[in-house]
Amino acid sequence: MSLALLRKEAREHGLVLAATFVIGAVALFLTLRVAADLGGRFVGLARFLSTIGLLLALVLANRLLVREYMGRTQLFLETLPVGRARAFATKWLLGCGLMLLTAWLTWLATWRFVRYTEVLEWADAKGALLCAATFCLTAWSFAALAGMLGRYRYIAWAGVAAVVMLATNVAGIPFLDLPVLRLLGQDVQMGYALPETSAFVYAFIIAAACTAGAATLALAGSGAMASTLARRMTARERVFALVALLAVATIGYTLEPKPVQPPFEITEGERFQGKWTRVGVLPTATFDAAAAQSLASTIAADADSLIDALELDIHPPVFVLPQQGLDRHVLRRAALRAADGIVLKVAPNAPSDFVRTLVLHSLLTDVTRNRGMREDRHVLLDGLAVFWALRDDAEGRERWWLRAAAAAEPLTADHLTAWAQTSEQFGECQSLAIAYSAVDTLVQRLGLDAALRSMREIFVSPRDDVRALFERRPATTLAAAGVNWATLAAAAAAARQSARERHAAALARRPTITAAVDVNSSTAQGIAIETTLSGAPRYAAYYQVLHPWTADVGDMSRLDVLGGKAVLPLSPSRNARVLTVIEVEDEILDCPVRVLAERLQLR
Amino acid sequence: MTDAIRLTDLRVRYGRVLALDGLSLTVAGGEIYGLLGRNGAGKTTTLRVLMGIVGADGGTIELNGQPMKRVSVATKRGMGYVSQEQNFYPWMTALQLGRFVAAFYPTWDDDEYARLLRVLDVPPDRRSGVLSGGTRTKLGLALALAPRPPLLLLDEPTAGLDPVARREFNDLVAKMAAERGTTVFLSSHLVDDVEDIATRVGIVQAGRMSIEGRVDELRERVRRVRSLAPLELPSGFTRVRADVWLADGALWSTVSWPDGTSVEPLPLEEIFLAFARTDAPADAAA
Repeated sequence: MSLALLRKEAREHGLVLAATFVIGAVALFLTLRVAADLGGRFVGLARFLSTIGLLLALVLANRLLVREYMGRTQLFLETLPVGRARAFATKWLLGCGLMLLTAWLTWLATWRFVRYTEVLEWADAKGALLCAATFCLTAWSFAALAGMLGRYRYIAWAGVAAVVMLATNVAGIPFLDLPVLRLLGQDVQMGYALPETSAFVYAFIIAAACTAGAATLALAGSGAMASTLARRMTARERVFALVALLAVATIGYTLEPKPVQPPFEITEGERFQGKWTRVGVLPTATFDAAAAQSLASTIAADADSLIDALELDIHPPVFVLPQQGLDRHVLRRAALRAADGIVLKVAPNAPSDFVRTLVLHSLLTDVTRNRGMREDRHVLLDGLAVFWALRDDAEGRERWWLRAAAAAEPLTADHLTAWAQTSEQFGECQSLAIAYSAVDTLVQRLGLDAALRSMREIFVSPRDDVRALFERRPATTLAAAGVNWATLAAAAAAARQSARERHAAALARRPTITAAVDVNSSTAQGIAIETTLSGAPRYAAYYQVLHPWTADVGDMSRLDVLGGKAVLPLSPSRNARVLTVIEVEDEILDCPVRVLAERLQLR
Repeated sequence: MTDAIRLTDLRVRYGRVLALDGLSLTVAGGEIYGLLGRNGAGKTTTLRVLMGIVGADGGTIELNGQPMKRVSVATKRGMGYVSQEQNFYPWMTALQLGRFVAAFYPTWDDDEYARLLRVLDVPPDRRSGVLSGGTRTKLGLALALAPRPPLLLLDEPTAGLDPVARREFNDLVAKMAAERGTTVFLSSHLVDDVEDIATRVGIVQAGRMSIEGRVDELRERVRRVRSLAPLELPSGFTRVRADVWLADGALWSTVSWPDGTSVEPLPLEEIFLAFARTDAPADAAA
């Protein structure tokens, strides 16, 4: 230790450190007030040290070490008769002392605070002090090492944060079970036990390793290493750091674990317990208990058989809530905030195959954590949901082939792999029919077993670790089964042509419908969007303003129109983009058919 | 009299770069020695070795007759050092810097420091960060001289100073050295500075000593020879450059020069230019 250096550090950093301590004291007071409501004796201590404590270590390292090297005043120190090792030791010990002082003051404040409300003797409290001191020692050792890395110090901190994130997210280790953080674990927070000895051993090993690393950087190569590291980052290094940060963030996002939520509780309605699936259907005045029980058992059979076929490990609760007033083809899935499950709101007279399809669709979406809706497999998800709902329903299959046959051709591989665009163009009913035609064709070509083998690989529950990054693409899986998107699209088109021939008479009965959308702009009345339809007595116009950040078109506003013309109740601004859709109820196809879908760029 | 500094076959390597490649030199007690060299020749490294900031990879260091592997902290207490950059704490005033530095030198003299600040016209209560480059250098000199060290090391201290400030600085160094008998080891690439105050000069090139001696002695030994016919000079003469030759002073008078030949002594600057080239012969002095 050098007293002269200590005095210098006190003069140089005294004000900043005093301000930091004052802020820390306020933060500690607030933390203790909040923690008092949580019940644990040392919750405040743990929270303060794991946040403000780490921040203080970072500030101390920046002030005591980084500033000396980056300000090049280290070169002045080296011309004085004071050894490099002595100068480093002085700074390290000063930082360590301040961190230990913080630990002691925090512990003391917490202890005094707790003693207002309960009897807590020194013998019961000293364990928390030991944990706090060890935590602060380790935190400072790491901060000092990071500080000696100069321009790379924040990368070192970010690296530790990434390791913690991977350990908690991927390896599933609880945050407070990680080395060093274990010293602030639940037992310490509650004040009833000390962590096991190994927790202290790990912390001391990490502290010793960090201190040795910091000392090496300070002393090796006549101190040249630390001086070199203290230089500013080059442009290339900045770019590298940014890319590395983005890469880690991307991996972290990719590896985000499935949140653990309790299953949705079904307490009402007609309930049916299948092999894997629990289903509830709420009877209404127009949907009696027998019908509800029948629908529940059918849904359970659909879901159970699909779970078996795809070898999924899920037990989904399904609840169907018929609601008066809904259009029979409007099916909605309710968003559940704090529970897992599938809750559907449908019209009492909703077509059974649509309801069953939506249940299976939701099941596959959930099990794949929405990955099933990626563009490279969404068509297979839609098609499989319909296919499975119709697996024992020959009449229903023909009905869906009729819907598919009514779709305008050609439909190429691009239509199958740009499914969001295809769905927007054809609407829900016909896009489901097209998807069904593709999956049914796939099953015809490969056989059911081989097709299901591919589906098992495509609709898998994603892994929580880095293996998620190396999953096969659906195109690769299909290619392994001997199919590619082009051949599948061509075979499906041929199958639809065949269906067209089978259902020529029915298709011929469909009325010819034409629709248009016009934009009228005038200075007096602004912009008006007018829809026109001929060939049907009524239609539904849907519309939505698309913002630059609109990635997914969700539920659109709907205007039911009786007659041919309508002006959308919308006052868009100039340069806005509006998606306008016209659908009519097709009696032959028994579902709404999209006649027009147009993205308007208003001028 | 014991030599104040004796470096023998000193080698220092920074990674793949050989900064000093067998440098040898001797500085007698009480003399002012000027080490001349181009940028990167090894001057600063030599001084950093003498200050103990950098360790030598080979060779020997003797200070006041004491051989050492590396200059210790105790030895540094007998040295003053002024570097080419003054990296003082910018928030400290000259007085605060004095108090800070004083703690490391048992021989520190507060009165002398105050006197030096007055003589050098350094404001005692202004933060060093706002001082001009010249004033900071003077402050560095005051800090180096206040402990009354027997050895003063100056590493290109006047680089970046205006001519008046340079002259003042050099005069002060020469005066202090004369008054106190301080040994001064000065490195520079400014030949005028060295010529003004140095009693002996060494020219270092690529980490090795090219030539060393008193200034007048160098002028005796190195001369420019211009001749109409090709010259064949006897042994003892070494061609440094096309028309610059090196020989012992006495040898020059033994040669009968053909008609039309001019032999003229060179100023120190020309000698430096001749020896500081990368293709100049190393260890010519030896």
